[in-house]
Amino acid sequence: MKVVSFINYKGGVGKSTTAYHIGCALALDHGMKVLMVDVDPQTNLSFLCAIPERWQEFKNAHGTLASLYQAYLNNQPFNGESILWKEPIEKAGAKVVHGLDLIPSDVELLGIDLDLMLKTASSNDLSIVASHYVKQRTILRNGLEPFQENYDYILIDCPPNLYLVTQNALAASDCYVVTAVPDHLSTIGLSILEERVNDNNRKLGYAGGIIREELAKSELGGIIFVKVRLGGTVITNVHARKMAEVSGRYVNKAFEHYTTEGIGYSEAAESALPVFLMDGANARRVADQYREITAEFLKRIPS
Amino acid sequence: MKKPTDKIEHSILDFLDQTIDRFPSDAEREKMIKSLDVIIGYFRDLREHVESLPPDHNQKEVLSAINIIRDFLQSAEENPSLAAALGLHFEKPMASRKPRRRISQAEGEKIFNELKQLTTEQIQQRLLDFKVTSMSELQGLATYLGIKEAEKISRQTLVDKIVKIGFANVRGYEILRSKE
Repeated sequence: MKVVSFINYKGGVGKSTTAYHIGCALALDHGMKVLMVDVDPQTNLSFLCAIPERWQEFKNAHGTLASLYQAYLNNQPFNGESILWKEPIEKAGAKVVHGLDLIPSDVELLGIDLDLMLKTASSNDLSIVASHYVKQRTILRNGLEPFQENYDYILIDCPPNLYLVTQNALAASDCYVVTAVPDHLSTIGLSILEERVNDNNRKLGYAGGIIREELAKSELGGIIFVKVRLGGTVITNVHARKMAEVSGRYVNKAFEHYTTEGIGYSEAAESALPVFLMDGANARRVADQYREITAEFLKRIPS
Repeated sequence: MKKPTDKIEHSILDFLDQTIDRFPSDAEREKMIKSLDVIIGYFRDLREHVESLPPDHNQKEVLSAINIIRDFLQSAEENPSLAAALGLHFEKPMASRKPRRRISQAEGEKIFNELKQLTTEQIQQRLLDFKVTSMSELQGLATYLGIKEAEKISRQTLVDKIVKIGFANVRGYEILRSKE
């Protein structure tokens, strides 16, 4: 079983779409058990999986990921299974992606990031401070513990920031995958992101060391290029140059397969269905790209 | 005064004698048992046949499968290259056959306004039921909602698109807006 976070502190770089389609391809084409965890208050992944009415019904009846953090903030025990949404993707009322479950997100996570930061532990005792530091960042890891045996992959869709909710996702992950548009502004942040994640790993490792708790580091699992621009059938110069540049800088980390700019995704998103289950040429083209990316994902990050 | 007793004894004996005569012989008894076995066998078979009739959920599944096959055949009929690829041959419609009635924009709007009163679940059920909503009504509704390629996709896919794009997403925006 592998836990993988999809991350980039830049927005609009296809994190949710990529996580969603890899998750669906793993379940649909490879028969794997996948748990999708939406930790982004924008709830994009949740709304790719289900229409808002169903999400609202689920939230009213069971809660969302925000409930896990609320329980932590209120010092209450929490059963993660209560917010597990079994096979939420539906077409005309029939479940269509078997083996894929979801822990949905909620806009309330926005406030929770602030509440977590405000929950401090003032003490001169280093072990108390270290313990608090670790606890603040392992809420999700502890919440996901009951599911470890049930899935081949747990895929976490992160918000475009590196605040505490995202740090929780990283602390729960074996590795992280970065999605990036191969342009100047998107790729300039890659090194900053890697540096920040390494810094978080170091601090968490240090705090864990003080309280003698071993915490695995989240390593860079790969970089997936999305929205690559084509001129005819060839990648445009700027994008090709940036892709080569990043591949050279992150040796063996950039995925060979990528997605191109297109309209297949937005059509699918509107129907809360993966492109694999859509009709039409656009959807078929995009679906093929995600199948190739997923096959490469399986080789790079085996379960 | 012994006579009356003798009379009674005689009548009992006569009665028993006659009764014994009325009992079936071994051959008759055997015949009766065989007949009963046949009757029991008939009722056992009848019970098994009743048991093997499909329950409600099977009937629904079969009905749903029929709808899917009907939609699939319709898609294939409307797409000659798909039909050819699948080795299906459809007879060309007779000249006298009436073309499918296309519903107008106004009719599409009327259906849309009627459906708006229902829950998303009810809309879906109503549109999926081919007895309640015809394919031309579905296509008219899709045209009204600006959904393209309505004539090339299956009923299930078209209903899913109409429900999500025409109703559920709009309702979703309202749900989220009311939370702000």
